[in-house]
Amino acid sequence: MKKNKKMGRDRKAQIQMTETVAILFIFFVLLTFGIVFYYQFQKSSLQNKQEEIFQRQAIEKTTQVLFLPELSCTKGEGESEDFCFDILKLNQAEELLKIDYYYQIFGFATITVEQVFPDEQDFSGDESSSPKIWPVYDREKKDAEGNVIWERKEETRFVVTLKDESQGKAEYKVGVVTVGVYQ
Amino acid sequence: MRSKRAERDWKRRGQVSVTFNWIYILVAGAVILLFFVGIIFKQKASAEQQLSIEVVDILESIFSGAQASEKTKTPIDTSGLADYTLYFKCEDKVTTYGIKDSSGSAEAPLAPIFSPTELQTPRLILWSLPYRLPYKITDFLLITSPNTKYFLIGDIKFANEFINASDDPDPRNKINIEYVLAGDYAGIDAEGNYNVRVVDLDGSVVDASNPLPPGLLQMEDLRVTGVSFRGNNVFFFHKKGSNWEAEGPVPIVSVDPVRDVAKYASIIAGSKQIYECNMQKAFERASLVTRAYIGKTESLVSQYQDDPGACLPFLQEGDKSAMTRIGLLQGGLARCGNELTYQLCSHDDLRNYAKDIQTRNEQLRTGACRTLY
Repeated sequence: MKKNKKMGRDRKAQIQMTETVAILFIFFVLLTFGIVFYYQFQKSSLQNKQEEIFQRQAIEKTTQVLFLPELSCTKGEGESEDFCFDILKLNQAEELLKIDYYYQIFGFATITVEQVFPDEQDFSGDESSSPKIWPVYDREKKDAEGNVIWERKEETRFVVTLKDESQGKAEYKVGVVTVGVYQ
Repeated sequence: MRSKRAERDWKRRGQVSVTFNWIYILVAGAVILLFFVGIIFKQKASAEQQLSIEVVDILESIFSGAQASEKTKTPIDTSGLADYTLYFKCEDKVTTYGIKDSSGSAEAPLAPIFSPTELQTPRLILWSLPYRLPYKITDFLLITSPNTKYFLIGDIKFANEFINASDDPDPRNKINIEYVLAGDYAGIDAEGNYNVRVVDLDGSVVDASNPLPPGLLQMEDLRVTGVSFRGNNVFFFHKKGSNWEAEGPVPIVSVDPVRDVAKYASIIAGSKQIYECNMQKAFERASLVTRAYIGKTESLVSQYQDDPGACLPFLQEGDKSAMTRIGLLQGGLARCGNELTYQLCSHDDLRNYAKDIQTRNEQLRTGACRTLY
């Protein structure tokens, strides 16, 4: 009789133990599920944030180029002409913007200005003449060995006026400034 | 039948077991409670940190946007941050701003930002103005708030010009300014403002030898500042007890007879350090912009070589020619950009070179020549 009682208690304990293990198992499954879900959510929101910052940087850099006093046209009293680049300044820009100071403004980016109207080929009738392009700033994202390490390049284009005083009087032409930002 | 002793033992064991269960529940409950309380505190700290980072991030975008929009005033609603203190400081040509006592802060290593040292306000006023020497160098961003009061004393002509320049059709953009006669200096009162700046335009009132107006004595030392204009210098002061304590002079380098942005910036800048440090940034940039103008001048000179006429002498001839002066200005600016001291940097020279370039440019313009700027 005592033996039967002991066996009954043991079985009860075994059932309780199995119950506890099952509860713990379910608990850990739920916990793992929660951690995975939270990690995925954080990962996706981090990616969104990075994308947002990248897009904002691209816009900010384009704005900064458009208002750069080193490139912009002036109207006698030092007033800037909006969205206008002085060709005489553009000719010197590439050398000037190599200075480290400008890296703090533009970081890893490429900036070029292209004259789109009048088309120099049509103008001169020379088929071999290339379109007028001014490389203004060029810092590609590279590692110490010089290998390209950027994953993405976001390009923003903006139409600008180009003021040309090389022929004696001021002539206005149409150009496009392209700002490429690396990620 | 169970013996009496066995029954007593059984009851005692039951009592111990019940007590143990209750202790166990209490301990476990307390641990669980502590765990959640810990999470709440951690979450609160993290949310505050997140908020400060986000706020600074937004401010950074707003400041860079506001700076690009020349000659504009922008009101920024900061009512959600009215209980927080925004701080601004500038050291080694780097402006740092953020929410006081929090980890979120941003750095502006290039943009000249002039503001009081601390602001606690439901609205910020951002004012962007172009700085010229004599051509456009960069845009100064002046930051203030409606609860920062400016008392102007003396030089009614400049006071009117500053009041008109800072006026805006949008009431949210109005800077809190009042003109006070020198005789009414003692009657200046804080009027519940967070910051008070006394602007002595004649250089006769704000001085270490002159006590503070009684109406400002109750304010914290940090909240009361003064500037005194004497010649081409601006002297900065702050409250120390019931007196003004001098921070020292800084030369104002400018060629604009009206809308003198360098002078406006000194009125808004909360301390000598903020003004000096941001002017250094401006000089560093000016040195680079001047390089662009050196290149342009060389191009104009080579264009005029074939047909000198009346234009080339303005550009090339004599020690006051545009070419000579622009070279000297660039050298002077590079020195001032590195160290704003009297030993290395001559502000009078900068002013004179810039004025000579301005004169040459005007001569080129009236002579129907191509201008430098």
